[in-house]
Amino acid sequence: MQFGNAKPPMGVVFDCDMGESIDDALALAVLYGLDGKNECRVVAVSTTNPTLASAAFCEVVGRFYAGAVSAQFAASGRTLPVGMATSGIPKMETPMLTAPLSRKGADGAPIYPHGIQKIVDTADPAAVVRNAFTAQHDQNAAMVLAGPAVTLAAALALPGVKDLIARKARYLVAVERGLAAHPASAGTLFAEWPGSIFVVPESMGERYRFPASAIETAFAWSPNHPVVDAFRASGNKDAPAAGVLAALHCVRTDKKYFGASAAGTFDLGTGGKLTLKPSAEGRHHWLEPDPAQSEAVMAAMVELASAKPVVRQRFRPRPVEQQVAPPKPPEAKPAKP
Amino acid sequence: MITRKALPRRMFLRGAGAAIALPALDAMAPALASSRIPGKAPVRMAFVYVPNGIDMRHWTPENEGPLDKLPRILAPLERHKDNITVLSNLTHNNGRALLDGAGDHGRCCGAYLTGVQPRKSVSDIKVGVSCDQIVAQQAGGQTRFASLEVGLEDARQAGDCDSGYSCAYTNNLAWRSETQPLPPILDPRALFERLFGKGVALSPEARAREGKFRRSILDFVTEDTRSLQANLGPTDRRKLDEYLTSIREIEAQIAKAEKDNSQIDPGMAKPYGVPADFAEHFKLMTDMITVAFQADQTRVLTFLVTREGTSRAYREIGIPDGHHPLTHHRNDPAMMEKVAQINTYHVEQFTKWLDKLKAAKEGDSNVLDNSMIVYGAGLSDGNRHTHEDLPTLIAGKGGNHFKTGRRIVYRKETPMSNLFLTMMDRMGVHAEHFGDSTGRVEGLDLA
Amino acid sequence: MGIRVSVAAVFAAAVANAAETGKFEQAVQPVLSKSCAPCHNERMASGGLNLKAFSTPDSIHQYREGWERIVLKIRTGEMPPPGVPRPDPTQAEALMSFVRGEFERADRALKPDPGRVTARRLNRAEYANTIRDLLGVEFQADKDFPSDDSGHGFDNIGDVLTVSPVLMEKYLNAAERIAARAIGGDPMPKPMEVSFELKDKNLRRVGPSAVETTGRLDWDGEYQVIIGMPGERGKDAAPVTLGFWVDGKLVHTMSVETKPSGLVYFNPYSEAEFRIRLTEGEHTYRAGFIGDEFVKTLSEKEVFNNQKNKFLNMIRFIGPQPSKDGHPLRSRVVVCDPETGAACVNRIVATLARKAYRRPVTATEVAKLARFVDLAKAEGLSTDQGIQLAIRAMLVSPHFLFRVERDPDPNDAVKVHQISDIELASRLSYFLWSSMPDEELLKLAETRKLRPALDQQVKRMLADPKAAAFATNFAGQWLEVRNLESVKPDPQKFPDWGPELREAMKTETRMFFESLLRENRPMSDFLNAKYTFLNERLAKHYGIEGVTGPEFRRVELTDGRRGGILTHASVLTVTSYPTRTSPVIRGKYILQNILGAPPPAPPPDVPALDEEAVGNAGSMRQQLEKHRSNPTCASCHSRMDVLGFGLENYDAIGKWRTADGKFPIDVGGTLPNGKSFATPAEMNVLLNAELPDFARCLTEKMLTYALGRGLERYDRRTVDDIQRKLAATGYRFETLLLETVRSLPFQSRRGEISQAKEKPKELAVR
Repeated sequence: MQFGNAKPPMGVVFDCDMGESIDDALALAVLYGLDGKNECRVVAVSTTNPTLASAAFCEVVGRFYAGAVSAQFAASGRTLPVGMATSGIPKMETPMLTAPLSRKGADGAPIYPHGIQKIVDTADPAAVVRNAFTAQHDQNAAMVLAGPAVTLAAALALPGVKDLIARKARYLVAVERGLAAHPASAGTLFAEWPGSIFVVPESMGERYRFPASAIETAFAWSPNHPVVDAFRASGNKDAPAAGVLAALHCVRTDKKYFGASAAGTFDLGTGGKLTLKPSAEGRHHWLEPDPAQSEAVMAAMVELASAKPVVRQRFRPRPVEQQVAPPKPPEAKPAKP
Repeated sequence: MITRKALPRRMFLRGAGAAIALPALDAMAPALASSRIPGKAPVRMAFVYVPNGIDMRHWTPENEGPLDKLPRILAPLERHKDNITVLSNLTHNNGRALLDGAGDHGRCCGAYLTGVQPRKSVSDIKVGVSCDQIVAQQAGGQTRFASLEVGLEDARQAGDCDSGYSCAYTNNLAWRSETQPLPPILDPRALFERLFGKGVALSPEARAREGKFRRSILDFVTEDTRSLQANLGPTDRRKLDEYLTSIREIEAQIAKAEKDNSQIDPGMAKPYGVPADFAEHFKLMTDMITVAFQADQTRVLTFLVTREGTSRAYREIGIPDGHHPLTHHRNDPAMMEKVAQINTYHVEQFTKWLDKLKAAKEGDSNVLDNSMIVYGAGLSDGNRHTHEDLPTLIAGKGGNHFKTGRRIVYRKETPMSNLFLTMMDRMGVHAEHFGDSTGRVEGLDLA
Repeated sequence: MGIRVSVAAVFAAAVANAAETGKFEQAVQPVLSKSCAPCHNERMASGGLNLKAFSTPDSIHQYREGWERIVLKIRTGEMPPPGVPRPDPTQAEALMSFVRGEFERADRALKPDPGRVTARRLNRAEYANTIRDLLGVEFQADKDFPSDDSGHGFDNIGDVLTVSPVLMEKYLNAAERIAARAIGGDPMPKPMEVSFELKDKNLRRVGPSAVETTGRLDWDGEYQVIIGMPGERGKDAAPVTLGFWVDGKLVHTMSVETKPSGLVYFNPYSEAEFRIRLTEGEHTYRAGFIGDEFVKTLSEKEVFNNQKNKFLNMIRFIGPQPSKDGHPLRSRVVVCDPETGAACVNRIVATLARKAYRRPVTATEVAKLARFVDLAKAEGLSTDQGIQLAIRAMLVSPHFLFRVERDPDPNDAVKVHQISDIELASRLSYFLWSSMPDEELLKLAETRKLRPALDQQVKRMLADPKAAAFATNFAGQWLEVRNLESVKPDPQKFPDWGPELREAMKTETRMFFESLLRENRPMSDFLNAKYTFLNERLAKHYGIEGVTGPEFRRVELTDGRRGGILTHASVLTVTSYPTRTSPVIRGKYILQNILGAPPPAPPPDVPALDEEAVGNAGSMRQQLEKHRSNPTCASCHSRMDVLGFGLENYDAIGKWRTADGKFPIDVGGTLPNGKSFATPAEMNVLLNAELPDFARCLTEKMLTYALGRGLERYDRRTVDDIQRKLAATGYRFETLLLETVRSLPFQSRRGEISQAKEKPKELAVR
């Protein structure tokens, strides 16, 4: 019998169109940063950009934090298989992907080795998303959708997945830009997703840009960093960070970084323009900036994206002296099983 | 085995249990083809399960596509290279811990043919209906036995079978309902008697009478049970329902047996006792299965070679240590070597069975070509208990339907259930989905 | 084992409010926060435990199992681990007594609930015994039926016993054979010859003048047995006594000449022949010379020289042949002459049905069964064959195959009712005999005199030889001795191992257990009795002098090497690997089956510790110490392994040893609670100090077996009551049995709510 009744950190499923913009790479880095702080677990990564480079880069980032970061990784000693859609949106083999992947060391070996040579080295993304949810405690998971909803729509079409998500997921945080890239699937998503949806408007992404300056400072600790290489290759200037905001809001809801619009139901106009039809029983919201929090947000973005991989202590550390001072007896209510 | 020799007539006639001299197998084939639709050879579906994973380094062929040099464990299959398809990357997500902690052996076996995560309990068992039984229940009607369940290891075990998983999950492959496993037949004699009767040649009249008796007995107990059930609580009623469904199954068998009132003649003496030697036990069981296939007594088979988590030692090939302990080798070369030897030994026995199926002619084809026999395990790495890229191969062309002699690599996380769903199609049972399937697998068929 | 908290949440609320938060804060929290929280916090959740959930009084009731584990760990000293500040004893004691107090309050607050037992199908052992007692037919269910699934460690759990089509088919076939064997109404088959010969490799030599085989005969009946004996001895050689054994039982002896017959000049050969009744099924047949002094005078190569010696090389059976004095079993069933008409037939059927259904039968039931006799006759068969057909029907009827207990209100989960005397009779007989009630029991039940006579009946039943089934089935499964059937020690490493030794091991443990019951010994004997039961083979294995002959007898243990169940070769063998011992398995065995504190499954991603995996450098002990340097493993293994090492003086088949290969054995150890020992005997003494734990463990197991269901939260109360009574009577076995039989769940039951309950998923913590 397993012993103890506390829930593990929330599981986060991450789907993006890696390669379309540096934002996705930063968002993923932020999630791993939060994972390292035990604020969440990255339980699945998939991309809708149907090019091996895209999946390969996701794996590279995963490996950069691998073993150290997520219990799932540590358990198997392998990174999670990266899901990749094979159709839906046109493929984008952009410099932010090719640059880091093609980097070689003095010995001519790639700086960021990865195991994705063929399509079969990637995973069926719908299965990846579904399987990730099956391994989460009820209401202890959430999803960040930085790209189009192609994969999610496919997953929702699988038998039982709607109920599964309703049972496991607290909410979905998506970004407007990604959804708009594939209106059809976005439509399905709004109709089928059983819980609440928060969408980061494009305007907000523009408002909070990830500072290029941080790349030279905050990331300096590491001689090689795939996200840094990608950032430089993608223009090396302040980058709109809608995906990063989505990641932040998803895991740090309690920090109230952002506000949320009144409830409604999203709808995609013919122009692919996202509109929120207000309705009492609606479960969709726009995410709204909160000026009072702007600094905190900027600080968190940088701190988390540049966080070092944490070697998670899976066993009690031997020398007890090094223990942190015992926390005062927690007074919180016990987690209900 | 016992020698049973007839005595000179003047002493007395040979008696019960004696093996009546029989024509050779293939010579009998037409006579055996009792309930078969003329012309169209039936397709058989079989699952051969080996426990504790397989050493994948010696299982997985190097390249995709046409099979070239077979790796060590598959090497015995060299002569059947053109009859097999090796499948890579198939995964059973429901064999994983998900939220249920330890117990991968119990879980992976329970999930294998059901595609459902077994409930972690020692008494309150629940999983799903296995794909072989879905086929048996929907298409089994044409043959005397809707399905056959066999195995080689007596599962008499006291205590938990795997960290809280009931032994039912590891003792059985086939599940006729969410809560009712079908125990495999282990004793060759028992299998013989089930398939071919007690070895006593009854007169047609005697057999007809026996059928009549059995039916009236079954009517009697059915009536009894109904009245007994009348005011019982739900759980008790469920128990007696299982009993009733089994009775109906037997009634169906009797009816079928009566339709063609002829006793199958297996062409072999009735076996006695369980051979200590693994290879001999394997051979005996598969010999009989071959006849059963050929005589079209059944088209669905599950074969639990040994129990998941078994500690059986293989002294036949000089390995005194238990199989399961060996698989937790922590990369000790000596132990890994022994595991590879056991894996290979299993495949050798399997290959010998394929020889027989191949030799069993069926029109201008043969039973092997008309079958699809999955050989595989519920774990890939038995040391770390991994549930992805499960070792899987299909022997046979499923009725000149599969393009064999190849290795097909699927995308990661492709559910094993997708394969089973596809095979069910081949058996004429078209389900929308099965277990945790996400669709059907491609590339199997000739197209 | 077994107490599930499926309904925990329900009363968490109820009792919690009562729990005095103040007391909790002063008695519990200091220890938690000082000694536990540094590791079992949200961040590290060491060993998968995060105390956050255990920080309120409510949690004591809500997460009962968790708290029980916490208390256990503190009590045994497994926690906190070395290096972490230990709570001072008084603090620890305060915590434990407060929590225990809360437990008891909660249990007392529970309404007494007998629970309900699902209709039980007879398992293999029960089926075979019932057939034996009903018809006198020896039926080998274990060879003919698929093995029964077991739950909670026993194979008589109603919930897991199912009826598959294969089994149903076997029931039908078995019924036919059994009925035929009981009445003998079918024409006997033509006799045939079955030969076992050395040259055919289906006969094996056991010693110079004995041969043995395991084979199967298809029919009961008389057989002509012919023993082939090549060779001859000296002119003046004395005759020897030839013996014939079936399954180790001597069934026939005769004298045979060994001196030259003068008839054959080369390849001298003679046969001994006799006629004997044998029964259908697979048996071990042995033929040999008894007390053959002559061979001892011969040299190695003379023994099988047919000029120098007479020996054995063949066993042949010719049969079956009808016996002159009619069918031996028929009269048990055919109590009158059925040819005299329906009245007698009905009487025969009625008498048998009452026994088979273990209850009075109605006239309609009898009539229905009697109809089978007519059916058979209509088909041109004899009356006897008709009776056989009726018997076949009985033997597959649910009334025979299942033990169903009726509820007045099957859907009322609250109303408790006493089970009927008739149902009680079956509960008793299947509990103590694994078989049907006998006439006395059934009569008492029918006349409602059973409950008054309960104690006296239990004692009578224990005295009956049939009670051996209780030892075989209950002890056999609880102590896992049954697994002796499936273990296969490596013949290279353990040449002594063989069927004979295996049987001897089983017998020792069975007889030991029986003697404890029958003589109503205190339970402490169980752990360190200074006597056991041995025959020559086992005594030799134990290195104990002066025990000769195959029969078992009580032997006092003086050498201090043996004493108590943990030193039985049976237990020591089932807790070993084929090639060597396993301190871990043995330690786990003690925790699980003796102390009732099974270690939890390791966390999901840590594969169970497996010494097979550790190389062969260094002694087992060194290897395991290495492993235990991992603190997470240590938290459980510190206790498990120490206990296991306490038994290292016994090799993988229970033989005494002082060295393991080239490494000397080091038995001594110190338990986490600071107590240490230097010899197995001393360890048993330490274990004896845990008698209450052992008694509770045994009580839970016995209750599970007696009821045929897993224990639920509401059974705690019953277990506690029995505990108290045991303590009061010096932990006597008889008390345990009587209290089990008197207990609420054994005496009564209730209905259930009409929907299947889903259990909440456990939280596995990483």
